[in-house]
Amino acid sequence: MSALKENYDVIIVGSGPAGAAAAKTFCHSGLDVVIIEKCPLPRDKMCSGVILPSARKFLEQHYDDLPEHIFTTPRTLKCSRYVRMNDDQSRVMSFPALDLAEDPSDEYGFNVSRSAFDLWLCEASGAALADNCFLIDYKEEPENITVQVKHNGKYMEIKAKYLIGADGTISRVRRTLAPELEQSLNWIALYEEHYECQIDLEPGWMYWILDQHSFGSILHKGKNLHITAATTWGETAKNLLKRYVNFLTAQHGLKIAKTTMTRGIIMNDQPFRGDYLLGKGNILLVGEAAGFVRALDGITSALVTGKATGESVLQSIQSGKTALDYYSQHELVVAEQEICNKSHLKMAELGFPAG
Amino acid sequence: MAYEITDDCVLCGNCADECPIKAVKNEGDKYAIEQELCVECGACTFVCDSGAIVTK
Repeated sequence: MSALKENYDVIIVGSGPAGAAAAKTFCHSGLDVVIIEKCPLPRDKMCSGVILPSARKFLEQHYDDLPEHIFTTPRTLKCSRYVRMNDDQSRVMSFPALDLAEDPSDEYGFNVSRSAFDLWLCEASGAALADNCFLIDYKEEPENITVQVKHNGKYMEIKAKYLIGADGTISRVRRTLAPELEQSLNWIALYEEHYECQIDLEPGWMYWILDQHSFGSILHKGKNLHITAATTWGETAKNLLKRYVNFLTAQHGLKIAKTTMTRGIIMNDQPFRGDYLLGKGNILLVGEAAGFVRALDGITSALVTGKATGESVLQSIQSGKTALDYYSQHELVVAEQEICNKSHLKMAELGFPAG
Repeated sequence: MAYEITDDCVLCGNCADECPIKAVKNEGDKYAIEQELCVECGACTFVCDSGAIVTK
């Protein structure tokens, strides 16, 4: 990984698909770009790791073929199915879509390892990568943005003309930009366990568990089964996961031999209320940091708005206007807000209690 | 990867401020993570300068 320099044209915070797609847009422009990542790379991330048709199309248009090493088994997912906790017979029902933003005729998703996929995207961008680099804070000055980081345990300052917050739902770039928005956010907890186990659900499908106030997912990934619980009300995510496990043990032959991983993540309700924050001046927010998450799919929004971010910065450099002037008018950004809003409505219509 | 706070805690409170779901509580002589509430996102670990937050 790169050592940090004192000055860059662009600093991107976060090594997920949003930051990587923004960086890729700068690739051939001769700009000096660094992606800073708080974790050591490759970093894993709690996510089902399914590349849906919308994201697949974007990748086909803008990237080389996905390399084999990023895939897990089963390699593709056919579509979704669901079970309802309150169904006495616990039937496995077919779900109308895998990708709520897409035409159902084009279903199938790639089953990938997020750590390998995200690192591949970053490396394909051509940007310098600095891991173990945690954003402390930043301030805008007339000519530059001064960014304080902790890199490999050492506090330091780096400067750039543009700062891109691609740092996800707990975005520190957003926090400094809009403290009042931060105060208003409500948080949703997601918790996941991986098991070596048996279950009578066929691999190759994304299974949803729907409950009155919550939902979860079941996914075969490599040698493991991943069960995830997302709670939007008083029950803790850990307790909810226990209930799912009990339900699947009683109704679907779940027999756990070994728990191989436990982890969780937090999401805020910005996407569900359509409260997007695009940035200010030459500081842009992208992907989930801006509130862009399609229902059950954060990757596509991240890639699309990442591309728009990159193009907006390039236009800003040419014209002298701010990057936000272009980003807020960018056709992909305008369209993405509508797609996100529609997909969340569709999710609610399909009986998902989130939001 | 469950986390806990060791006696290296210097009571700065960064972890409690950082936790979005308020799973870190001040217990007087150190901070502690409420295990049932914590979803192991790891956000607190990045703001702890004393290295007091470790995986169990």
